[in-house]
Amino acid sequence: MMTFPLIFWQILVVGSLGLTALTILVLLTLFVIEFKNGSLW
Amino acid sequence: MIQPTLAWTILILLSIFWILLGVYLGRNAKTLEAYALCNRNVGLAFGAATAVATWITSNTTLLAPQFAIQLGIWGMIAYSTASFGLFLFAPLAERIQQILPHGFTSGDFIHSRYGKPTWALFMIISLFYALTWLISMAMAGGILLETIAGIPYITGMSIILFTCVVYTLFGGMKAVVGTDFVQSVIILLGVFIIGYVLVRNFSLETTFQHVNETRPALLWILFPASIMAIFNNLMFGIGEIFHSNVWWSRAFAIRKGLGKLSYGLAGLFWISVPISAGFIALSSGLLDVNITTPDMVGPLVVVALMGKVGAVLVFVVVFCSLASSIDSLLAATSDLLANDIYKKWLVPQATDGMVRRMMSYTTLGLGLATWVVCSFRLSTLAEVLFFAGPMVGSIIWPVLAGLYWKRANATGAFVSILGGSVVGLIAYFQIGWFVASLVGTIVSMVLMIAFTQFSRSEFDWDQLAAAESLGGKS
Repeated sequence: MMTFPLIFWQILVVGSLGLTALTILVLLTLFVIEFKNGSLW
Repeated sequence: MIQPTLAWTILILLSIFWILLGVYLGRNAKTLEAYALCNRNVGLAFGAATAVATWITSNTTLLAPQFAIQLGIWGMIAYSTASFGLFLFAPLAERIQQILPHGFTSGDFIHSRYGKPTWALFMIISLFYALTWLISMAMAGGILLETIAGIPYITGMSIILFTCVVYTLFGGMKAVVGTDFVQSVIILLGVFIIGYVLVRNFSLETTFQHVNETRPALLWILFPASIMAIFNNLMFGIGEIFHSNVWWSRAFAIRKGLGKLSYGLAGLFWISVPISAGFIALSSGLLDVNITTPDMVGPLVVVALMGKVGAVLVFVVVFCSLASSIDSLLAATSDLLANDIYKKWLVPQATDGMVRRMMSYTTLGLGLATWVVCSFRLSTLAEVLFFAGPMVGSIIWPVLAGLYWKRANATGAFVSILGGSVVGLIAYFQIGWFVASLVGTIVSMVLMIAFTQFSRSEFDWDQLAAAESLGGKS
């Protein structure tokens, strides 16, 4: 049975792993965009 | 945990790679502005990544699993609150860029805003903090390489330190920021792969049920002491970021207008790391992992789950976490020594070229001094860093007030830093580490607000912009 603690636990872990994956994608995308624009630094 | 031959090969290859990459990226950094601050033109990708990578220390990847196994879900969440420092620094970064367009260090601000006595007190605390953090990181590097790969402490510590010193020395801030970007992607990728493999092998429900049956307290635990620890860590983290030149130098280096967004994104990127790295520890029961030392629970679970590949991943992630923090500390501290001690105090007539050369000497000197101290392997030294907690906590309010309140004055700043530090240290010894930063911050806050309230002077913000600074046009 899905209890509140279990749902909280799932949201916490899946959310964190998802955010970590999203971070990698955002960082790489930003890098590509700024590299193309010549605005990395 | 990992075969010595494999560990040596990875260690040598990674070291060579970071040195070549850092030296290549910093090859054109000839002027002081280029070498120390990347010509104040760092974009969003590098700006956010360097803040994330610097804030992910070996503690984040190893202590988060330990927090999870000892304090449960709340332990991981408590660790995540360290990201608040990055969030809260975001508006400050924008303000710093506006009112100090030619600034170089956090010392520049304190000197121009509050004068010499407060600056001297600030420098003592700031250098104490930076040096103890640097030494504890280098020591952690040696100890971790010995534990994970069997590489002798002195050899592992020397290789990590040597690698960071060489590329920081030749490439300056550009080398640090560029390598930080690659290191942050590697760390995040490693943490994600490990978490993903674990979730694929054991469903979240299975792990939850197992922990619920064997150690239910880990799922819903909230002792008063752990609440205090959460607030204390929060204050320590905010104090570290608000005062340290590691973060101020990045605020100066990031392109004008991007400071707030870079630090805001960095906070968002960082917040999930302690949970992603920590939750794996709760699977130790399912994998029948025998936990010998709590801080090694993360690597032990990964090796039990993924074997040799897992061991390599842990090794690479830990190496990157260490290097990304050590290089930033070397660059920011040499910056502080060359700008604030050499230029402001010892040789005021020094030219940009002389300060640029001095930064190289101080980077080298810092590396050597750190190596000498670390070679003694004093285990109690790492604890010294905790003394810095109340001291850096007591700088939060003077920095905030100095940036935003016209009526904040030098006497108030001096008294609140000193008062907060002294009372915070008394709390450290009389009550415990878990309240020291909190007490220091509150005492300094009360003093700073009181002095500002009764102050009649009004600071002219233009004084900061006009203040003579290195490389500045004024």
